[in-house]
Amino acid sequence: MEASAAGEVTILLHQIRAGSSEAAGKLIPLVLEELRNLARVQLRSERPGHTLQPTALVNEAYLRLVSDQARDWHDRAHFIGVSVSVMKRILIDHARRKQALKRGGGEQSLSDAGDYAALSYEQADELIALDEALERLDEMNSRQRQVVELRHFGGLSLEETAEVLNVSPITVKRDWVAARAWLKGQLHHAAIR
Amino acid sequence: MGPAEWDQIYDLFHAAREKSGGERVLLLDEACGENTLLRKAVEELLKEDETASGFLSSPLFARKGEPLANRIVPGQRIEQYVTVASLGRGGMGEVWWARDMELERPVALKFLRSETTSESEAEQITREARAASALNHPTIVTIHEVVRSEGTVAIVMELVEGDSLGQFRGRPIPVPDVLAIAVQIGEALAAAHAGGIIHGDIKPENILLRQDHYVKVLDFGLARKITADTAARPDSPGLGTLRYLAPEQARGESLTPASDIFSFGLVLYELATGRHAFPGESPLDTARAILTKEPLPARSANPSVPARLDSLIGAMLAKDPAARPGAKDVVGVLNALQARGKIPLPSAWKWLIAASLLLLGCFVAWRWKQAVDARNAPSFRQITTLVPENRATAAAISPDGTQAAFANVDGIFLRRLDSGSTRRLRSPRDFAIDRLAWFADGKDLVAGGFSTATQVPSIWMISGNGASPRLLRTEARDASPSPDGKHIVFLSKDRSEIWVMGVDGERSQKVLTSIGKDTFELVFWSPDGHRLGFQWYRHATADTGNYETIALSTSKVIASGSDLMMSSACALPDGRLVFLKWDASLIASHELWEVKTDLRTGALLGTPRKIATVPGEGRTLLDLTITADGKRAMVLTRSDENTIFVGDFDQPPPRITNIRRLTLDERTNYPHAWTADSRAVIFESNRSGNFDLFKQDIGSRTPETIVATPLTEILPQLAPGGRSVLYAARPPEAEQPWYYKPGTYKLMRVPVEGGDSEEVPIGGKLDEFRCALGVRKRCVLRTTVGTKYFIFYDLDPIRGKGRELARTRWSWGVLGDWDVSPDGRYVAIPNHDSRGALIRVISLEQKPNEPQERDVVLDSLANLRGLVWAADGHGWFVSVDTSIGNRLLYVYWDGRFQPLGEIQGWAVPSPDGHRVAFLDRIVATNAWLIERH
Repeated sequence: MEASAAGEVTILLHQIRAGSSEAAGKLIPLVLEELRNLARVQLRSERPGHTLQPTALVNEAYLRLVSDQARDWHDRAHFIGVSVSVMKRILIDHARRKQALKRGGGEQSLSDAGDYAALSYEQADELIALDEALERLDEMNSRQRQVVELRHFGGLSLEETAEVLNVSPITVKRDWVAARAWLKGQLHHAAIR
Repeated sequence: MGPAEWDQIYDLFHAAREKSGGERVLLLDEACGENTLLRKAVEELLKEDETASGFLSSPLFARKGEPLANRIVPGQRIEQYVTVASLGRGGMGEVWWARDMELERPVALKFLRSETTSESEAEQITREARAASALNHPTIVTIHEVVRSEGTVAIVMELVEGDSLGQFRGRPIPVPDVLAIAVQIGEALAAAHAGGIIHGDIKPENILLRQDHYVKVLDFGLARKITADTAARPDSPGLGTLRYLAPEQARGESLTPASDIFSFGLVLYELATGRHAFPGESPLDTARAILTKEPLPARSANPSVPARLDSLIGAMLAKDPAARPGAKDVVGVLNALQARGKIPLPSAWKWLIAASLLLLGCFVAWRWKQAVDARNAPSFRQITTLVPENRATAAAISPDGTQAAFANVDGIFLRRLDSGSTRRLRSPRDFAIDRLAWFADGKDLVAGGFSTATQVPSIWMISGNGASPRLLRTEARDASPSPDGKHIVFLSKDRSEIWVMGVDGERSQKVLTSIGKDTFELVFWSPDGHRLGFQWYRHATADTGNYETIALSTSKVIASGSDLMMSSACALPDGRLVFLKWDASLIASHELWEVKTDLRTGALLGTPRKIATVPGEGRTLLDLTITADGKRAMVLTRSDENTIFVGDFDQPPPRITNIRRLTLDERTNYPHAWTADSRAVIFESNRSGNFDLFKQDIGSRTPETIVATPLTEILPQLAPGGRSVLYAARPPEAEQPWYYKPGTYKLMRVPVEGGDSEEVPIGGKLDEFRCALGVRKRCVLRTTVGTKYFIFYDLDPIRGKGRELARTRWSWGVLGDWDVSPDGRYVAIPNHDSRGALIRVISLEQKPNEPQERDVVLDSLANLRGLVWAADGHGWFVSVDTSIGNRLLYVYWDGRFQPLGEIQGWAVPSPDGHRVAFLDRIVATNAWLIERH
């Protein structure tokens, strides 16, 4: 990412903070390439089940894209707010492809395994089930779905989540508690293993 | 559920959550009234909420090795608990007395050390702990929940007021007290073992004695497998526990209830005698003694120990787990001892069997049975010894177990297992066979495979006596004949349908169609031929292991099961199902399992058990077939290797010929450079367990070591002058992320003949470096400035980093994807875009007429992976990603390119340009016989 692009990101973040949703739309393509590359490097691990930190990836993308002067926690929170759905999609894609490797019969060549080895089968299972449950949650209450995404995939605190969604932290807490309990029930009923 | 309904549930949930007990019930009564659906939804949510504190509370995948966020202090709040005082430090972490502010009761919080606990481990510990506590036995400590906060994980459990048995260390206690304590421990173990739970860490510190002399056993299910490695680390949770390990535990084998009995025996011994049964200077000494020495009888250390207790302890300390009594039996003896039964006393404990005979008839019978099982260990024999070029693609043992049929690129063969004599059967032309199945009469076979020309799968009848093969059906796969030999079951080409047809091809009938995108993975006949068993894959959730049986007469599913995870299965006449178990985490099958099924319905009876593990690392098993009596089974074993090949290179047009394998080793081998005389390849290999550097002459079968230490050594390059090798090294990966993180490696130099390594000073963190192949012989160091620039420096092998040569804008890359030209004048960097391919060439010498850099566009290509300059400097060997693997191309200076093959890796040219060494994978498959006795 060149120097001028970094400046653009900073400006966009300011606009997002001021409430511009158009700016968020412009930011996503800038972030997407960065995140995809970062994710690809991490996910092409040769050590199965080894640690993967999507929150760190998003952070790293943030550090790469935003110039030093512009950084404060509000910007970071908004940046993550924009990135987290992108990161989630990238991870879900990888998880699905990892799932495809699980078929018995030894038909898949071992060379495919290296591409998705950083994600263990357990993690892939969980991710996919969670994603599907989150879509159902979104139909019931979109804000609560966002709260879960921002906190779980983005690692944002209650305050940061509140900043991004422009609601009070108490609302975020209530959303979080209710959504979490509901999702837990959903995952119990899902046919996993 | 719609948004309005959910809102209602949401509000009521929060309102009810703030209340408890009777108040909550009243609130729900008022709010819900007759609306049972609403009430049920809220109640379920409340229930999930109670145990949801660990769920989703940490970011998706926690980084292993993060230290405990805070030191624990009194007054610290975790969820609804507040710490009061420390109760001491256990093996797994600190234990604190705390107060449950919501339920207003005292609890114990056991904080787990973060560095030994990952998210999934914590979940597992919770599950096991809850399972144990669910046994609800008075002697087993109750676990309430597991809580998390700011990176801290703690188990909340019943607070027991009393000290552990460790308080008695060093002195014997009166026998009646020993018995009283022991009976309780025994009962706890008996209850747990009956419930399928093993403690795994029985030791005096885990057994608490209350003031009223009640015993409480702690930490059920919390023990993890303690190996000699983990136990020997100074901060390891297991260090103290080494002293109470059962021999099989110390060897790293898995835990069984008998391991608990051994540890229990050690505790008893120590209580009764005041000494450890296997004294030693250090815990490691003790562990060694446990493995090799026999203990002194308890009675000789303390004559007041009754002989029968002595025998019992002796039996509990047997080295062979099968010889130890079960928990129930132990309790029986202890009770009898307490009641002073009138059974004659043997005089020495080697009479233990006699004593047991008198007291515990079932104990003896059980012991014999275990001995029989031990003799059942299967034997393995390799039947074919084919090399990868003609590797076996299918194999099947004849029903009578005397012959093996196998297929490879040369055809179908029958080999007699006693003599090895082999004859060839007639097989279809231009046909690759991936499956063979015998008819029950042992005369003919059904072969499945696909046309090498059209890739269409079909099934054929193969004659055992010379008749020509007969096409049974096209667009069919995975076929096998019925037990009576009259029908054949098969799957449709896309695995969406199960069909049955007559052996002459007539009366074909679809039996079952899968739902949606689900597919059938395997299908087999029941012994009586009236049923089919199969396993299917659910596309929506990407899970497999779904087993069902279907009656042919009704086409109805009559039994089902899940989690069988079979990759290949056979049904035996006595109802057993024998199969290869698919291990999803290893993407392989290593084990042979069996499960009993109901003869009438095929329903699973009991749990599957493992019969054999086929030896050999990095191998997977395929294609199980078995004789009717179940005594002989045949499998294919397949191994993949990252192998280095060498070939001759010439042009025009560019091509690699005379390809032969260089590395003859099953582990991972990566080529990176050649010696200056173009005669040996310098590569990294993990054949020793970690990555080391080797060189191997192309005419030689074994490599010589350049540098091999416990450090990870990778990316060797030949330095100018050809006498030394530059490489990157870092400490072993134990606590570090796997990937090449710039800054964690050092640049080292070692003589190419081997010798001492020295660090090369680069004044900062090592990013990447490359050395030129050719005459000019320059090395280049590249550093990255944020996401702004790459800067290339001259790199001297001894003096290190030199002056800046050039810089270019930063772009995304992967490890080792760029290279220096042989004359040292340029570097080339590929892009990694899925929309287009280009190589940026940067001049390292400022010349007046030449642009500093230029882009070479590769038309119609994308997804470049990496490049290596060709020896003549006029092009590159470029590796490209495709959906089915990698391709290697030769790319010219002007952007034209020529394919070199479906090679799964990169190529490195020799300095003289006449050869290349490249990475590829090879697959070897052979048939093995597994014989059960």
